[in-house]
Amino acid sequence: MTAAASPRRDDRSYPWDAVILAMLLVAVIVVLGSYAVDAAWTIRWTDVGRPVAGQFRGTCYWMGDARLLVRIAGNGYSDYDVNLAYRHLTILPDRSWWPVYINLTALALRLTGGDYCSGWWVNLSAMILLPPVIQGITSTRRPLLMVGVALLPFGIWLYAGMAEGTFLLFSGLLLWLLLHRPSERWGVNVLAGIGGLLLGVLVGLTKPNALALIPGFALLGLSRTLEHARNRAGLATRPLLLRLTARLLDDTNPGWTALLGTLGILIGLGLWFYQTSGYYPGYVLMAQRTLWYKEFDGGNIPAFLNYLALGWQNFFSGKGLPDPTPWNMMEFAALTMTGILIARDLPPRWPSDRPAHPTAVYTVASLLTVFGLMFVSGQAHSLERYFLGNIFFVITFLRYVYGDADEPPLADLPRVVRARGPDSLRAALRLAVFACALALIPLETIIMVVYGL
Amino acid sequence: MTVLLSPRRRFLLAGAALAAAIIAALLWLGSLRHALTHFSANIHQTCGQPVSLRAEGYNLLGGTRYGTDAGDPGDDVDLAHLDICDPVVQVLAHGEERLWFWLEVTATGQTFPYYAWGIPEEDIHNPNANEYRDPVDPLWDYRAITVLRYELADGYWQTGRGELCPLNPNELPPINLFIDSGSPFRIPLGGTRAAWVCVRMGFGQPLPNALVINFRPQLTRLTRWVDKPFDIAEDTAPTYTPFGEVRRRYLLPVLHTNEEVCAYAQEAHPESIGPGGCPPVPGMGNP
Repeated sequence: MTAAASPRRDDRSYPWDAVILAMLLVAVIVVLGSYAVDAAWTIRWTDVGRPVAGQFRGTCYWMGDARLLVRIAGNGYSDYDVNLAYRHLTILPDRSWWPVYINLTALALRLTGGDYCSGWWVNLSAMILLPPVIQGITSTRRPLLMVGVALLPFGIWLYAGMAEGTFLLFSGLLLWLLLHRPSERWGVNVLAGIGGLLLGVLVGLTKPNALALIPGFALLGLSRTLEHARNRAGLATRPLLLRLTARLLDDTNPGWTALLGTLGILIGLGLWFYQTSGYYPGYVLMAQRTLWYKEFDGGNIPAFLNYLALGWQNFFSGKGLPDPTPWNMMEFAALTMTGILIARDLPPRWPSDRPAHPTAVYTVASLLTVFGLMFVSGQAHSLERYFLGNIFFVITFLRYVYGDADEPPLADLPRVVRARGPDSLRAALRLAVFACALALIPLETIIMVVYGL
Repeated sequence: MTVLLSPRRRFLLAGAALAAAIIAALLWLGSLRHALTHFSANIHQTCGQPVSLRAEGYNLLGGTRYGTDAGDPGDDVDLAHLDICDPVVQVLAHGEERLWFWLEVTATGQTFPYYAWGIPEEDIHNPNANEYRDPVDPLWDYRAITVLRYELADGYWQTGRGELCPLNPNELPPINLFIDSGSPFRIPLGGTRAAWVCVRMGFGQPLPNALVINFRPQLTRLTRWVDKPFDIAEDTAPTYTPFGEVRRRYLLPVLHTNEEVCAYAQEAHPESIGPGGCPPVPGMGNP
């Protein structure tokens, strides 16, 4: 009896060892990955005859928006650029960068005495805190699944002093909270609901990417409400409609937490839009709309498809790789990989003897929203960052590649493939997606460094 | 209804969601209404009524909605108070025209310089993102005072800029100048600097009928700079008499020699005269 009870008790206990190991490994991977990227930048600058530029770490300064974020954190938001030249409303203003990460970086600047890598430290801290959040969402006991958050496709952005890691942390915390088991004690649910609202505000103030999370969280709330409504226990007496209405409206309905989280995101985004629109209606939105080039005609399906195919068309027709082509390839990779994750439960299903793990509708909704935003706006750049920073994408990717508790883990996949059983095709696909994800990190580093992005 | 009102059921989250939805809607709708034109001049009108020079405050919350009306300066920094008095036109013998006026600047605040970090070539020499987060006294130099033509002709604004008079002691009266060298200077917080300013159009051009002096210290991100318009003369252009005299209908007092300017300065602000005092005005004391 003792031997039988012990594993059950172990199953229920929190996997401290796996989580702590995962946190340590994530720290090591992010630090080593950062220095590898930094080395690439230094080699690049030396190669183009500017070795002195190598004194700045690429992940803290050269990469993406890193130095702009630290500049704002140090100087505060401004309407001027660094030359103190007059600004125009349509020039990208500081306010295009949302404030939570910037304020955390400002705090790090204080603590480090002005280290220009302060943003990188904030990101590293967020990354180290991600494994327990991943564990909370997936209930996994596999350390590798948690470590995988540092080896995501396009994961180079998670090594930089930018807001992606922080955004993943906060949106992950929100998702974790929204997936909590509903309690019959109203006080617990109320606390969860208010917590969801506040976390949602935090998420909405961290990155504009929060826009793409809204449909996902809203649908999550709807699905939990339907699930709650289907549970007719206690509703046997009449009048049923009245009792059902009361049941849906009262605090035991777990859908409220998700709805409040969604509203929190809307409030966070609304706060920033309102706060920054003093000079012009919808100032930040206007600046974003007018600033960036359009890769294709927004809302035009043939133009969109043509854009996606352009990079590969040039490649296969021997035209080489003109400047924007690598980005086409990255965006194509993002679309392909995301498509696989969305469509992974389409028939034929593998393995045939086990129920498939369908991608949740709310996840599909969030990923399709990213596509939708891109399609409507005609702007595809940074698409891979939008997916990388989307908690639904991250969780789906990790569960797909590393496997849920009843699926073979990543290490077993080669054996499953060699066995040529009904699971082989799916296992091979999982391995291919994993290999592709790993390959995209150095590929994106090269693109980033060569094109100075 | 008994069920709905039963004390066993509570609807706090439904109420919170309703309130949150209303707040979100108000914020999104509110963001479609803008508040103010952020950048504009404070125009100096009358001697003895100084106006404020204002700069961006330290803002980590991205606010743009302060200062929603003219009487509300918002959270900008009140940097200095400027007063301008005693303008006079000097018409030299060879026809050059200068405008003199008394400028008094009282430093009432410090500015966040926000300078340079983010430009790689400069950061290489100073890789400290913390360098510019502390407020400093603004920097004044010859670029802080700009002279702009301010007149309409044939329905068009006339272009052209003036300049500070060259700092040649042989050509200027011995009076204290606000910009007295090529070196920039700072006015410490609470301090005052008051002295004369001399401007001209350069290249032998006469002063326009109207001009604006624009005050904008360096290394500051001003939200409200100071403009001082001067009406110099009524005529659209100088005319010449048969005897070669320039005839304009000046709207300001007119002086000619440096000695006259020095005497004028001594009368208005005796403390502005150099240790040697003013040279005698030719003809004075010679009956």
